[in-house]
Amino acid sequence: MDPSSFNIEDLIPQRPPMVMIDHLVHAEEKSAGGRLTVRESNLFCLNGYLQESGMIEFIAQTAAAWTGFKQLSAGKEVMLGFIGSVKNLVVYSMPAVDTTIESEIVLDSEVLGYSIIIGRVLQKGKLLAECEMRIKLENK
Amino acid sequence: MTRENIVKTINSLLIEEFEIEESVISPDAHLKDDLGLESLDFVDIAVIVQKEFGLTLKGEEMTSIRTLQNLYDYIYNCYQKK
Repeated sequence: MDPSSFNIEDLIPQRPPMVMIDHLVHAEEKSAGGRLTVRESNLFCLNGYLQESGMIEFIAQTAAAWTGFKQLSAGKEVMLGFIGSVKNLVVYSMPAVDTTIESEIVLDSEVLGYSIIIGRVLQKGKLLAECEMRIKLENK
Repeated sequence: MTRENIVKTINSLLIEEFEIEESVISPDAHLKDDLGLESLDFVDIAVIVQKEFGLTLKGEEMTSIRTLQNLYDYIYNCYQKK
């Protein structure tokens, strides 16, 4: 099943204007990637650039979409995801409006009901931001 | 795996990851009241324990952990049962 063929709103619980991913591009057992075109109307844009909070949300929603894809593929309902914490966030630069960015997430481990995600945001191969994220999943 | 290894690993984690002063780290230190650890910090501890010792900690078994000594003992006992 091709994850990019799904409507993103079928994979994540967020709704506009909080949707911060356009497509889940690929999904493997322990990793996934997403794509987002930064629009001027984006809630997290300021002075023509997507802010740090927007990139964090992009990583989190990539993880949410990945989980949603796995859930739907297994015939289950999409779960709610909550960011428990963000660690070791480094932002190298911020993407401009009307450009497209990609996310790459890797599941590092799962402990005490949390998924530990290593997330990166890239643009044409250039690293824009990276962090570790603790995400808690719960049924709706 | 010895108790000393566990104590050393956990203490290093507390100092390096949580920036806790070495002087306040003692076996009878209360994790919340003395060391200021919060519930999410246990997730980080569990990650390190999983990576360093290959143990998967269980949340329901950790609810009785109050002090650092309790934590050392719990990890040691998990390792013994492994």
